[in-house]
Amino acid sequence: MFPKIFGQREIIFNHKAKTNHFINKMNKLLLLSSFLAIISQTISSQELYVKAASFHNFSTNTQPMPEYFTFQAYLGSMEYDIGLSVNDFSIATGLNLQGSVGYSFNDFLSLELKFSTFSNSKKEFPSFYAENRKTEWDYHNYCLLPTILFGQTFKKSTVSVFVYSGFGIDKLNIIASYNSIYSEYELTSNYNFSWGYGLEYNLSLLKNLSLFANIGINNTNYKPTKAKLISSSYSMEYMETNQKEIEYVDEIINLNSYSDRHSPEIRLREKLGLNSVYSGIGIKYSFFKK
Amino acid sequence: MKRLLIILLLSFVAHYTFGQLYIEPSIGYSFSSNPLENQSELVINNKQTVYETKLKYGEGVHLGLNLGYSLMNTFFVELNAKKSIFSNYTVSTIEPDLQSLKNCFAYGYFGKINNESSIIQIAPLVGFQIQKNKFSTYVKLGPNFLKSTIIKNLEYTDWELKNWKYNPLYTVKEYQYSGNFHMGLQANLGIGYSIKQNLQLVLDYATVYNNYEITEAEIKYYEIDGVSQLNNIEDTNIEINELNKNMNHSYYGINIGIRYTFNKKE
Repeated sequence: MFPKIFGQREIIFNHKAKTNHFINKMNKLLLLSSFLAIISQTISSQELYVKAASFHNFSTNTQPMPEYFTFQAYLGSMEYDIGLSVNDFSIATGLNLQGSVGYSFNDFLSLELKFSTFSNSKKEFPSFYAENRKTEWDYHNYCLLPTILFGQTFKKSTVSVFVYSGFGIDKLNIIASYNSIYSEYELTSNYNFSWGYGLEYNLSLLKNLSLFANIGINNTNYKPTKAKLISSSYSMEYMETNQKEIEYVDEIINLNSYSDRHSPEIRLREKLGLNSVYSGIGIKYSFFKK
Repeated sequence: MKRLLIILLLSFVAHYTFGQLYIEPSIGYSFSSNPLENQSELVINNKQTVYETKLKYGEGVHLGLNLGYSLMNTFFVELNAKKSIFSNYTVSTIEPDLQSLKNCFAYGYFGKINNESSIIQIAPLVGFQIQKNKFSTYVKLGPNFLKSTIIKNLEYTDWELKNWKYNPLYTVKEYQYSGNFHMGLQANLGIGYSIKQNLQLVLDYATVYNNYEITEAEIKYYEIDGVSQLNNIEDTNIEINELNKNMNHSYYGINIGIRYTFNKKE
């Protein structure tokens, strides 16, 4: 009896299990079809696109020039520190090229990943103290900027508010000179942080092609970690490490003031802010646009 | 025929360009984005410590009032006015006691700095807003005209070398800097939420770039060991040159406001 009852129970359980399995399967199918139905309604307005643009950044702010190094001149047997102070200093003016890949979820919301490169156009900064003392700053950055766009469409045109922030890498070379005496430093940093926002006007030209214009603000913060003397009017062969290399740190507490000649010079890290307003035009190509 | 065309054109324009006047009182806090960084160096027994102080000129609590005119619920022009109501803060560096310290070298400022920058700002802005249900988002941009009066109070110990011995002189000094309206740039990014048909709650993020230029600087107060020294100074005015004329008042600010739109049409 016992095994029979057990067998009946097993059959009942199996039947119940099969019914439950069928209901679960049906529920899953129903959910999937509902989801697909919702998606199919909105998919008509979705699109993948690429953009290429050229902007010009105009500096909106200045700061005292960071003293990343001390420029020394040897006149005869004497060594002099040459002041290169500039109060109205900025390297935020320059050309900015951008390429981006984006995805529009609907007419209102789009997400983009921008790749941006920037080079400063104002490079030469004469010292406040004398005209024959100057520095030349050659700065480049390469950033990846995730961007969110909120748009509104009016027939063939769309206006969007966009916000972005992201990280990038930099390259900075500074040449300091006094008449024919010069030193060139190459500075390195871990990363830079950029953010900004603005407006974009997009005009549809063809089915897949449109032209756009942007206006916005951009802020990039740069902080070096190391500097290295790469060329000089003096022979670098006889220079010690502390004359050729600088390490920038966040704090200096109880540091041995008689620095080791075979170690880099230690300095406090100074922030360089690149604040600008920019405008420019670009072209947008949309894939699978309906 | 011409009249008919003009009437038709005007009625078309009037239909699409109805303007809406709005007013928006706000309160906010601004964080200085370009503080002036000063370094002071102290070497005791060949051990070097570098202290850094930041003077934040644009920082503080302010009240604002926006008066705007919106066209077609998208474009708008606005006059933005702000006045700081609290901008007082203190920074200090520990003062070395040169009497007790041996083999010591100090360079830079050691002491307390109390700084206050009272600001008035006016900014005519143009912007664009995008609406979705009860939410709206906008960007606006325009010149920023800023006027500031800065009062800087210093408390520090000066050292007088007498008979090969350092004597402390407890010093209090107060400087006042001021200038005219100086032009910079202002950009705002914001989100609005409609509470009622005419009423909107606005969260605004402001970015202001203004490297303020001072035109006047004066010593207002000077005492040593509790005795005023102001009469001993020939001229209390401070010379302004290329290196000290700018006090950067640039900031990032967060504002919360309530926007009331007059005779709002849906």
